[in-house]
Amino acid sequence: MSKDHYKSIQGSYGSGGCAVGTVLIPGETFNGKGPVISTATNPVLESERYLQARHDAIISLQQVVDAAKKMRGSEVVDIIQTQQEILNDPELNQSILQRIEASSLLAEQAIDQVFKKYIQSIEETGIAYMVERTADLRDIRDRLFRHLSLAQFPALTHGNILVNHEITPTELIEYAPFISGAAMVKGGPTSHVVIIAKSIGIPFVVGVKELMDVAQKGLSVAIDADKAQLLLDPDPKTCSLIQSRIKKGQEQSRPSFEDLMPAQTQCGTPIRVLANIEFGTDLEHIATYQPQGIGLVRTESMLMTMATDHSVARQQEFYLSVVEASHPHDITFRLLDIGGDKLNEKDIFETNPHLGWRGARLLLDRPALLDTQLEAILRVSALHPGTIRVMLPMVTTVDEWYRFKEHVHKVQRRLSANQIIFDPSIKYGMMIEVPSAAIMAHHLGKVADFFSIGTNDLTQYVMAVDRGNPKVSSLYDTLHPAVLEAIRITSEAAQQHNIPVSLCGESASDPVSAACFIGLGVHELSMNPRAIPSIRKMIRTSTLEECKQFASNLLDAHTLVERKAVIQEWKT
Amino acid sequence: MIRRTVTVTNSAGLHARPAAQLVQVASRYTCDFFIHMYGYRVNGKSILGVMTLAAEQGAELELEFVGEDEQKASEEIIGLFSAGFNEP
Repeated sequence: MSKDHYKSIQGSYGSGGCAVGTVLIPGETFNGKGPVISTATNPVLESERYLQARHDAIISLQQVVDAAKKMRGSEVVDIIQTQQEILNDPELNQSILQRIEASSLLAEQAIDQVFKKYIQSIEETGIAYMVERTADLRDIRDRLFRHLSLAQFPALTHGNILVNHEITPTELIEYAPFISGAAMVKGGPTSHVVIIAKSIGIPFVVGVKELMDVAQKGLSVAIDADKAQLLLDPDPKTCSLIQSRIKKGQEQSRPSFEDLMPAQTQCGTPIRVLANIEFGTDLEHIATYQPQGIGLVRTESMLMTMATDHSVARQQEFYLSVVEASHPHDITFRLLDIGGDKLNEKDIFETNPHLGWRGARLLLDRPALLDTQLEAILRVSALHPGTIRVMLPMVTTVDEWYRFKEHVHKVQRRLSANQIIFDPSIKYGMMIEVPSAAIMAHHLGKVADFFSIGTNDLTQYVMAVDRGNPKVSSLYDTLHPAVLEAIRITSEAAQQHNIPVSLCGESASDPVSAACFIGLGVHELSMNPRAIPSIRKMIRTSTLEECKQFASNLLDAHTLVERKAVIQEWKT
Repeated sequence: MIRRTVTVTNSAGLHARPAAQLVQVASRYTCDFFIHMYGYRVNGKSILGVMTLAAEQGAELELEFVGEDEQKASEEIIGLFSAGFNEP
């Protein structure tokens, strides 16, 4: 951190890169709390403000539709088209205009009141899937609010740094054309908006505690997202330094021929470099970066955007698109990895959700979800036998694994009975991300077909630290010997039982961490596709012996100071 | 004026997607279009109106068309209901 406290502020790592720009704070007047009351408004002016915001919202929504058509399944497009119809609703429009005129309300107040009325009447129907859709109404309402406040930024050009307490995924997508970086007070590196920022390449710093105390509209800032730092009002020299790093970064991201080839260490040990995939857009990266397969397909976004229809056919569409895009390489689907809060069920309250009902625990309690997902994947497997692997997230005990396999057998029997073909040789593996699973890996290795180490959760659980909590996030250290020991045990158990072990956490994208994991015997790394060139370069220029030595030094580096010294010594 | 009674046949009822489809089609015509259900009457070109009806599978609706192109409008919209909005 800089000596001058006001010049540089520290956050947590979100999405890497650098950016220079001016602060843009969206929707300052509103934070979902309802409008500030102000009387004596001019109804003509307010009507105009509303109509302009409505017009802008219609246009921006069309942009989102166009983007969504490229990005994800048709379900998202359906939802947004419903939202477009809401904006076009003649009754809604009339009620808002009437209220502005009749009661001399601010556009914001009129919008708030009218939407409240509609949301209430839909909630009164008590039909669950209708009540769910009030989320669309709130979304539209907030979108109108945003455009009302956006109008106060007349010259919205590129080069802004989006700054707020919290930035939602839709906000980020909407502002993306106008921003070169983003920062927020809340959030950890695994929050959804961060994953999207990575996917579209926006430098993002999260967990910046004092951000809103120091950031003002129009203030010039530089973001060094690799160091998770914000520099306030930087001098021209610093700016040009960062500009040159941005340029360098752009050059680096252009992969060389070697970066597209399967990598092996200097001494000739092949290391499989795979990609993590979540959205349809990530599929484009497969062609760009040529991974040797997909080590992790996250299925949460896809399933969660399907409002009510989790049918086998809908899921199949998505799985098939991923399988086709990565053909002939193999592909690992991770079964739905969510917490109970995402289920839209009432009466789910957990005081400690990270230690609660999620992953395998939730799936095994919701057989309908588990079985449909298995069925959809099995059906797709028939088309490309031998390429699909399935993994179960958040396994804690071997009993969960036996119960899971019973479900697999049940779905297989059902398909066979209906004469539907599937690939009977699919490999079923487990995520190793809970300490109990890592400690017992020598036992779990007897029953699983493969292991996949999830370093995000493993680090969180081994260190007992919430990475999103700025008060303790400095304890979150994937290269701490305790975490490395858990990885070592897992890797050793995999070798003992002769099953593959891969690692698919965030840290696989970091060349230094990746070198250490290779040294611990993990020869399959799955990462954000953008990181592939730099990881392949590290592999080509290192020997297995060097990686082993590095890992062993790190395992012995008990203090933070020692760890920093060991990392500094590593040649990259 | 044309009045016709239709039944909602798709299993999820007149939820967001079919409501959007209905309103999109209705908006292409100039005639007024209203939906009556259990004494309620809503503008069939207003998606929020249609959604607040919360018509479930089996619900009987009376459709009312008033205007020049009412014949064509009624045919196309009744068609949507008979096809169950192309849903199961």
